[in-house]
Amino acid sequence: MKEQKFFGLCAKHLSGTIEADEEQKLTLYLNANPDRQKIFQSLKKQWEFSGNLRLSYQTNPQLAWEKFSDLKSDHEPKAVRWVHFAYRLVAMMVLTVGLGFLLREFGKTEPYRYATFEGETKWVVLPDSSRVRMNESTMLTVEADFNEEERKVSLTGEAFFEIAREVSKPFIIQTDEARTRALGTSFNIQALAEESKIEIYVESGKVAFSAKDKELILTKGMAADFDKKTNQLQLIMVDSIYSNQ
Amino acid sequence: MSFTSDQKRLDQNFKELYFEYYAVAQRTAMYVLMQIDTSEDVAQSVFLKLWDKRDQLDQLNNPKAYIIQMARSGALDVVKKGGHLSKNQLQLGFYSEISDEPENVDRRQAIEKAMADLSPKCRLVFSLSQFEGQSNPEIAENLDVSIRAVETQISNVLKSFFNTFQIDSKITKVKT
Repeated sequence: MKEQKFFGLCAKHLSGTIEADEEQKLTLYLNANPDRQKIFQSLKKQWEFSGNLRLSYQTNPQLAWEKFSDLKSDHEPKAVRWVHFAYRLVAMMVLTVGLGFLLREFGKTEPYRYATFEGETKWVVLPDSSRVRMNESTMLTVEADFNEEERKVSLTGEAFFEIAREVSKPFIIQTDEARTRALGTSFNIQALAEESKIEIYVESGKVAFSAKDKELILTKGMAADFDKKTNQLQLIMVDSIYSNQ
Repeated sequence: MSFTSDQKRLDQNFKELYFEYYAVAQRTAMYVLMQIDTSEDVAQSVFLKLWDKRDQLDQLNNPKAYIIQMARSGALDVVKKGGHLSKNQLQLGFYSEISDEPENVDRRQAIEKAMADLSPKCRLVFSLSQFEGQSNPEIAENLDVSIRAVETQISNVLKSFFNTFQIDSKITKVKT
């Protein structure tokens, strides 16, 4: 019998998983081989003796538990890390929303103003890419929510408008009493503070000019004015009106 | 409210598991490493891992086997990294349950010495069998190996013992 096989059978015999036929084989073999019998007996003695041995050192679970309590708080398990992460996330969201809210509020309260001095004229391009040529001593105020739902500006003085075409957002010009609504067109408005009349001349497209519940629809080449004193809204005869008819 | 009571229940379950199996984990690591301090460390880190998963602990159908396997692999990692002490610093000591007559003291010391010559994996199988009184099928289940593998390891132990004691008897012969 080879050494490997011999120790294998000894192991099975000593640890109690030997089959009956293997046991028989081992007994026969040991009886026929006194040297191996001697080894077997010696191993058996060692085995039985070691079976009664126990570890001298015995751990103390109570002490270990106390140490473990410290370890686990240093360890910072995933759940705690997740809570930290959640706190950070919430703080970040509050900051972002708060900052956005503040920006929105500040943005809202400040409409943008363009102005010209006496003798000065200038072109202004609005956020919707409409162009305005401001005559002298004119003030144009662009509302803070310009271009959100509608395009609202107010005017004192005189300006020529070239409105970028955008049907869904009407362009509204508030002059102290008259209101001009346009979609995509170009026209001139004169609303001089010192004069009693607000005048409009349409160069192209279609414009609604209204004041005091009255409204005039003006098309290319038409002009109109509103008299602040008499509250009269009227068409002005211009050459092109005749050519249209 | 159910969240906090759930937490309390999980904490309590964990504590019970700790007290039931901490010593098992520590001894398992000790059989592999033959050292006190490192085996305590390994056992603690086993339970730290379990602590992270304490909400899944009731899904373990054999917590003892799971803990033994974790302690075994944790201890083998220490061996791999060379973090264990050299042979002359080993602390694997035993006492005999029957008696400590002078004759037994010698035999006990011989076993302690022979243990150091075994490979860590071999030593663990032998220890579970002899010092923990586990049967081969129990060892196989606890270590998640086949019974055949357990028998092979035990046969390796016997071979090693044979070599060790043969050398010892030669030395004795020279002395006399």
